[in-house]
Amino acid sequence: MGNKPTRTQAAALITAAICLAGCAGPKPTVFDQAGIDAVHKLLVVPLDAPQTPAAGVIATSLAAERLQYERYGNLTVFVAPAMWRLRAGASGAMSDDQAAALARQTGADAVLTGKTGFAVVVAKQPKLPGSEIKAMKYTERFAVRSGAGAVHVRILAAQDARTIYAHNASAKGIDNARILAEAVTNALKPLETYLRKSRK
Amino acid sequence: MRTPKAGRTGRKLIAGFCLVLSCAGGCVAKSHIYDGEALVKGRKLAVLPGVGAPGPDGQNAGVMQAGVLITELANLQRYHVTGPGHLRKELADRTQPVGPALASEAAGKLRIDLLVLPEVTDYRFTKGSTSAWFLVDSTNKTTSKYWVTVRVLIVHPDSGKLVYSGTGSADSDKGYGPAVLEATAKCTAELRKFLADAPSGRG
Repeated sequence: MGNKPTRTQAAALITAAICLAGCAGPKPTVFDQAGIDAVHKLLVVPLDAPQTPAAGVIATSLAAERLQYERYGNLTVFVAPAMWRLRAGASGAMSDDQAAALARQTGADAVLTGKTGFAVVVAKQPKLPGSEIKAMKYTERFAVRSGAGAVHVRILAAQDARTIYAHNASAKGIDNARILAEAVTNALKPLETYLRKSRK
Repeated sequence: MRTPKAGRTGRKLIAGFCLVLSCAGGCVAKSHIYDGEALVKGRKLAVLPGVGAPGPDGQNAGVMQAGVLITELANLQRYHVTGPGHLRKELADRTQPVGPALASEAAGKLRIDLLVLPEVTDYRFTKGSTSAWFLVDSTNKTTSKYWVTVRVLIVHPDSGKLVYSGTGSADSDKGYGPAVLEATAKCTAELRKFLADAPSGRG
């Protein structure tokens, strides 16, 4: 009979399995390598968020910051006209042709657009009789609030509004600031992995 | 039998592993300067309306955050800081969409060097409790904690190229006000440090 693995070995195996599963991640819907290679200037326009407009603006700046911070080779990122914020409702949905036209106006090779959504979930305690609530631990009597966010990112070539990258990701948790950041990071992950390798 | 030294080494390894995992999960720097020259040469900053946090509590937090940020930037005593009023008035009469050309024209007319974009990404409170036991009975006390995370981006008004980005988080037992002030101070800390070391751009 073979030796049983020790706790340390078992932990190492589980960690490796989690890492492998996490690192591989889901494949993007569209991934046009030749199209991505031709992008040196990327314009980021506000992501459409019909129900929570704030989430759209925040996800946009997170995506721009994320790509610019890593400084992939000669990729430069621009945030689309920030003055849009001064016109209420002007940052709504933009068609692919409009986004590509704006990218051409600014001299960008491609434009990052997409959609995002955010929801807050309140897990209320069930309606229990008073005696049962009294028997509960004091800290368990409060309603627990958490959030969930989803981001769908698309990158369009400025010339013909052709989609060269599309991917989506979601995240949930208690810390609202991390939810959208995590969703954006995961939505851009395959792109960043490729850029890291191809633009050293 | 495990020695205390082996235990310490194990804890260090676990801590290191957790750090690597958290960074591999995708971390964005808290604050970063992309274009130091623009920060040194810039004279006039226009702070645009802040974006409130998603969720039920923070929808109007962006407006307050913009006001706090105007004060914070003005206290640097380096820039002429304005709110969005002049820009809004300038754009009000224009019917065309706010494209790069119009943004550049408006910024040029008002002599705005850089645009400041405030965002509140987290604005919520949590409830907790403390229990105290006395000789014959116990008492429970409910406590609230207020959590705020803010971000600020500084960009060129015409091109939208990033100049500075900062993130700050804070929590307070007293209310949202102290947490917002502390978070805003944190998100501009790197900028303050950079400008303190940088030569004056008004030479």
